[in-house]
Amino acid sequence: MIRATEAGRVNRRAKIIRYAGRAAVYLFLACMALLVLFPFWIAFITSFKYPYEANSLDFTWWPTEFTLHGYADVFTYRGGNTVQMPLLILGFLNTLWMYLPRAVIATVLAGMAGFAYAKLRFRAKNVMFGFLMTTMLFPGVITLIPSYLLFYYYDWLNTPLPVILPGLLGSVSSVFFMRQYYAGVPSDMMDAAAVDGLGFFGIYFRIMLPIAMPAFWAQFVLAFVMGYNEYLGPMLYLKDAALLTLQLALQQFASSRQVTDPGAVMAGTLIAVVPTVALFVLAQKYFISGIVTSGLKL
Amino acid sequence: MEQIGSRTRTEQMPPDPSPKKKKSGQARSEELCGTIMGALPVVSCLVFSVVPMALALVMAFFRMRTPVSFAGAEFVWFGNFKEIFSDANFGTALLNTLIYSLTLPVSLIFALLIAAALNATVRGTGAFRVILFLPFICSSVAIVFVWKWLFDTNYGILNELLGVRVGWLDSPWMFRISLIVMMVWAQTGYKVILISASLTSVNRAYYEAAELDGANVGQRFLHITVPAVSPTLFFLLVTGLVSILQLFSEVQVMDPTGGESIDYAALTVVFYIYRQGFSYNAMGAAAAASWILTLIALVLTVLNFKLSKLWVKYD
Repeated sequence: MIRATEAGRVNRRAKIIRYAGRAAVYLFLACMALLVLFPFWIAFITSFKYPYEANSLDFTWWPTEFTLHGYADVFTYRGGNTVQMPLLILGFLNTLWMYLPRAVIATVLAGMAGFAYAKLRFRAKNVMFGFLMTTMLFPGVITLIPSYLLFYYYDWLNTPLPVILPGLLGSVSSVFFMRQYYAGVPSDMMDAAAVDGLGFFGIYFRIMLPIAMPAFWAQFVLAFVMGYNEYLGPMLYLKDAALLTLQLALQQFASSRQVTDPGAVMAGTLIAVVPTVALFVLAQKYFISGIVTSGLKL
Repeated sequence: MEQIGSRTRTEQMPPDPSPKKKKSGQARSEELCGTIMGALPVVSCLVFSVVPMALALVMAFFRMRTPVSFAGAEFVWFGNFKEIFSDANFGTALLNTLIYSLTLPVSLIFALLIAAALNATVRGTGAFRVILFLPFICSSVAIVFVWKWLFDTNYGILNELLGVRVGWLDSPWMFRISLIVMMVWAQTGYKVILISASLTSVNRAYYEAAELDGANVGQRFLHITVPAVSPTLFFLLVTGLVSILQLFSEVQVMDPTGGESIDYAALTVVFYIYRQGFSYNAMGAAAAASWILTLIALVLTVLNFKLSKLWVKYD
């Protein structure tokens, strides 16, 4: 009898400790999530404030006088440029046409190379793959200065070519990821198709590409988001106001407003991140799994 | 056409007599297609990485008169390197880059703790993951402008919450620390996703067995969690190091002058290269500085691989 109650007490204590531990873990995670969200929240409430309220020593957690003037500013700002459109809209459109096709083509071609390295036999395979792996170890910045010189010689400055072409044939990490992905796909399907007389390009486009759609989505979203957020390249090569990308437009807009109108700056940054955040939330499942697989199997 | 021919041949003939001939046709096409498919990224790398790298090496030994041409360039042996090493700003840039690199271990530790916590919970991890990952999606330009506002001396929320009036971006050390805080915020989520993915593959039985043996939370973390994710930590260390050594956008957007008024606290090596090349038109010196940074990155990466034998557990 006594023993049983004692055991029960010990048991109950263990249970309490476990629950307390679990509560602590959730508390910790909630704190971290709040810390991540906090800057977004401050940006959000500030974006609806008039300058007098944002630049006031009394901080308010919700705008006392609600305004959309910051958002209106974002969509009408021209910044002394002679372009035909509000700058951030122009920047967004430029970003889309420069980086969206690039992301699609790069992903398809990286998948093709990944397929070849995983499934096909050809003599230069190991040499070429080893070469690609080696280039990954070099910091990309080494090409910054000489590329500028080369692009000048090619007469590519102030054209979108320097930001589109270098990544067009597939990034090395993408090739690597797709190779890992295809290594896990059984070969018999491909062998059957080969016997059926489908060429290897046919096998890739008709069979291997469709079955790897989740992986392609992940790599595509990643490639597009990376391009969308690029800053240094466009800043160097796209001096012409008509070719400005969204990040450059945002930088210009926010710099001109940061002292006088924090609300407009926050509206601008939020508008600028909405497209990629929306894309991420939609493709979230593929995206995270894509990043995980490309990162894990090195 | 050839493919169709080979198909009819294999169908009509029994497989035994001449498998060689059919195989050689297909092998030839496999050889050709594979080489073409695999070569596209190789060509891209050659044209846009290897050629520029070689050119950078040549440029590093010249003093260029005009920024974009070798016309009138003068061969100066190691003159550019000497110049860089005697430039106090380069020393500052190296030191700053080293200091900003602290972001990497700090965010790794945070990521490890968060991933372990995610692993210990059952519900809601999906939502946590999405939230933690958000900063990774945002551009550095957007992140910097938001944080600049949080750090604002007069109206920023940080001073408001802490009840102080600190110039977070106004002195060299405050600037550096503030920037590290911002980057830890921005870069931890990605690491959490990778680490927690490798944790889910750890057998829960290990934890239960350790718990029965009386191992406490800390011991379980050090002896089960850390070794289990060590390959992922190593991967993050290698890739994170190369990327933090190239820090530029964050500091440049935060302070486009490179921190002129705060002892150049915003000047990283890449920022230095950028200024040499595009503000002072010293393309040769900039190329030399890029090669120095590349060599530093290579040495650290090799060191990383050597040291990994001591602590990374593959099984």
